[in-house]
Amino acid sequence: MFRRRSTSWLLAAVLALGGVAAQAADDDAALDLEHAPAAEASPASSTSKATGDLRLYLEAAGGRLYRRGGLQDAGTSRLSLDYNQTFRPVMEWRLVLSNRIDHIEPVEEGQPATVNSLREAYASWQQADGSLILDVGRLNLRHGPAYGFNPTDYFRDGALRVITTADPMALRENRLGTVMLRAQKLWPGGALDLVLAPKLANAPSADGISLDWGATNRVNRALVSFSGQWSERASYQAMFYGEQGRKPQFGLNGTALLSDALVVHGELSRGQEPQRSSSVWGQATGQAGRNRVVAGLTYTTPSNLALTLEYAYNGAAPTRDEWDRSVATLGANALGAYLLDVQQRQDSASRSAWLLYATQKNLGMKKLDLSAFVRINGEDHSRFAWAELRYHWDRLDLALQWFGARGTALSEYGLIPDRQRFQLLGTWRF
Amino acid sequence: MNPVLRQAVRSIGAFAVLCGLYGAALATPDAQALLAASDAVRNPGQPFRVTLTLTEFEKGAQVEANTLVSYSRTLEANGQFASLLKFVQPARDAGKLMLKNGSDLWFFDPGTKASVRISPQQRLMGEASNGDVVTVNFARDYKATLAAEETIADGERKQRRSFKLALTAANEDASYAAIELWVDAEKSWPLKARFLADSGRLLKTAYYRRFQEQLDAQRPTEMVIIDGLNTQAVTIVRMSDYAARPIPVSWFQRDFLPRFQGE
Repeated sequence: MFRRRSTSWLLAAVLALGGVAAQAADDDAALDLEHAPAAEASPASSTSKATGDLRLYLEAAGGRLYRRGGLQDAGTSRLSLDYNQTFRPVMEWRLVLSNRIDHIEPVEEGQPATVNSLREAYASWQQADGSLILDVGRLNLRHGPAYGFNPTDYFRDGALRVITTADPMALRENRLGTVMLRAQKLWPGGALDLVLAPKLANAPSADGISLDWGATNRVNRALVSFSGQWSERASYQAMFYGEQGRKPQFGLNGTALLSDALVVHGELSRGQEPQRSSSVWGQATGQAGRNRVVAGLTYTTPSNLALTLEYAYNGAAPTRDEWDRSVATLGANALGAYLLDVQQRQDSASRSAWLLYATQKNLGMKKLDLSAFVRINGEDHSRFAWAELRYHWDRLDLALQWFGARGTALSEYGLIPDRQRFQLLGTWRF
Repeated sequence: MNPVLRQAVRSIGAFAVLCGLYGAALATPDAQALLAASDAVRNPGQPFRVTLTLTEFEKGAQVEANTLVSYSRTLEANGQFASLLKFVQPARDAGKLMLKNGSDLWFFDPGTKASVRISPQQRLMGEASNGDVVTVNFARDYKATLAAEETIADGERKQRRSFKLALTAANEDASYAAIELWVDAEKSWPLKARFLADSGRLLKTAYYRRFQEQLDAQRPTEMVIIDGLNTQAVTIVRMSDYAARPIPVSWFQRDFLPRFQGE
């Protein structure tokens, strides 16, 4: 017995010593490694690049679109040039210019093949300590922490001239800013924001090279928002939004860190308004207090897989029964018109919806990233899924994208003509 | 005994006791003070900017490189550093920002204009954790005890007499459950650290090396981080281009991220 125990101790000691020796050898090997000179930025270049003055990339995509409802399948292609530059003529001023040109084939009926989107063009002044800021011009002001649908993002309506992707995160890169005068006061842990956005045109323009003031500034609008912190782990933003011809809306959004791996977020927007589908179909409905709510959580695994689950409720959208009744009385075309309106306003089409969004960096190999999501209509259970595998070099990205829409013929995702698409995409950053 | 002799014996006794106490005090330094001294070596005592270059290796071959510019300062509210990091390279990440102010951790993408709260577990730069690139005073987040006095090989393989400190998390802002930190016995330089999970599992080992004069003190300009599970995964963090900067407190909040331009 004693002999066996002493042998075990000896074995354990040898293994422990072996482990220590192996670790020391690993440490030695690691300490032999040196910085690759190419990876190291010189102080001068890092300082100039740190300003992030210019971002310019060219994107080319080609794929195959599979359609339903008797429509022909088609090859698709897109070429985009995306430009963003900040100028700082003097220390406290900056001028921002952001523009994008997309050429898309095949052309949708009534749409130009080449569309220019002047996303941002504004001047900004800020006090030296950054505590007071004034902006004037077209600027992209985005609110709300949710991934799929942002009820408190009040300047989203009409902001997309071109839809180049199904990914809600990437869509935000393409949207137009709103012409506004903005003042922001910041203090440690909080900020107060005042925004005035005037009416500049009556309607959006279908002209491809139009600056399209009517897309974003077709009514007078104003927003007051207040940001604060409940604690180091929880923050919020409260908002009052007014729009000519619409009752005021109250918005509240917030995020909180629940553990080292779990973040929760939520958005609420409430105001008096008619039901949206009835407005689109020209039916008279009374104003009622309606809520738009999103609640979600993001969990990150030790392998850096980030999973976001989100529930969205839209009190201005039709219920399943209202949807079915509309199909019976108005037909599928009316539903199509409603879905186009929802898309233009970046709203949620159904009374309830779910989103599961996943990202994994370094999927099985370095520099290969996976992003994917599935959206489920909580009323008719139709679903839309999208996935992207992206490999990146320093300046070049190559991505393979797919989306598929499934559902019964008169469901949200069963109704849209695009059933499935595969696309290969390359992005070159200058 | 002669009163004079008795007095002399008492004096010698008292002197011996004092010497003993002094010697003991020398032999067992205050662990928390030693930790604070090593923090002062790693982190300048004034608001500063530093360029961080992360080079990631797998089985000895370079697989990834990132360059960031970090702006850090202590905040009066909690005495801990807050850091704002701007991604410089590669081009696809240029202009992105990460803000860390205690547990308040945000990521901003200038393309989407979205400020997203992230969790400490979410890694933005390859295998390096967010905690590896932000400035942290260990003495604020950890309780230190003296574990041993050892001679170890430092990051440049020189034998150095050191104090091994055992650090345990003292508040919820601490990124690790425990840290073993070896501090140079003479200069209070941090030499090596082992970062441990709740379970005691080794998460990573770090060596601090290439000490150079930066912002009025000898500071490490390189950190070699070895993954605890896969020792072939190594990240070298180079700290260069240190400069004192008057960094306003207003930079360290979510609402400022879309405004941030650096210098």
